[in-house]
Amino acid sequence: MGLSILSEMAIQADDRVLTAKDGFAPIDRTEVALVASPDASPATLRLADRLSEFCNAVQTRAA
Amino acid sequence: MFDLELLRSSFPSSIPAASRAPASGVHRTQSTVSQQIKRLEEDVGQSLLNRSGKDVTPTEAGERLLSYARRLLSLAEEARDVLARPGKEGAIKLGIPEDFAAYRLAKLLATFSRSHPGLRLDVRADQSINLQRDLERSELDLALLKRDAGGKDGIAVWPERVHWITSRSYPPDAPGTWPTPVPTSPGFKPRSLLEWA
Repeated sequence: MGLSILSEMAIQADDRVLTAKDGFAPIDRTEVALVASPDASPATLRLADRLSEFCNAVQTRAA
Repeated sequence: MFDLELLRSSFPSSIPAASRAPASGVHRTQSTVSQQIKRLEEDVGQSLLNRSGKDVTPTEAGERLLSYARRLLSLAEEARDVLARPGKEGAIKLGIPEDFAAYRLAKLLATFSRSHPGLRLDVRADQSINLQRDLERSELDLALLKRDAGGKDGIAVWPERVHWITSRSYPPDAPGTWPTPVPTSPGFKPRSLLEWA
């Protein structure tokens, strides 16, 4: 048995989320960013669009 | 099976809101367009335009077909682009955080890859701090990465909530026996969570 920290996006069914009641409040100090290199190709930007949609959907579900 | 040429020639000039895919020099008169739409209507067995009033507007079926027509045509354009310039799109080097549960991205990446046959997709999972470094070195084209909140650059940013978790299958013996978490990264700095993520 162990403890770990996991992003909301990565939590799976067998993980038990500990709460402030357990003495382990969530840590809200980080963000997930989608960053492209300055000379990204059109195809790269298309993939970025798909990833943005995906993360927006995950975020909406988690909220 | 839809005739793409028929879709292309029917929609751009007949419905104002239509996405105007370049008609590649094809010029058609209004009566030709009407004939095209009649052919489409026969094809799908529904009327696509309301012709009763002064303005011609799409019917519900027309709207629905229009939305598909846009996608079909844009996909066709993309296929043509890729075939016309094989290998031109090259490769995309994408970095994702190690714990991002890559399986959740698998479907998205597979779909993207299929629709861009001329493109190689290299995906690497790594610690965010390495992804950031490799973006700066142009060794990555695109990265999803975690960082301290308040970063400046990026196409999009989402707040990340990090939870402490334990296992459902192997719960701790009793409260108060929590072990001290030990970071696995040798470069771990207590103030930053980046190395953990």
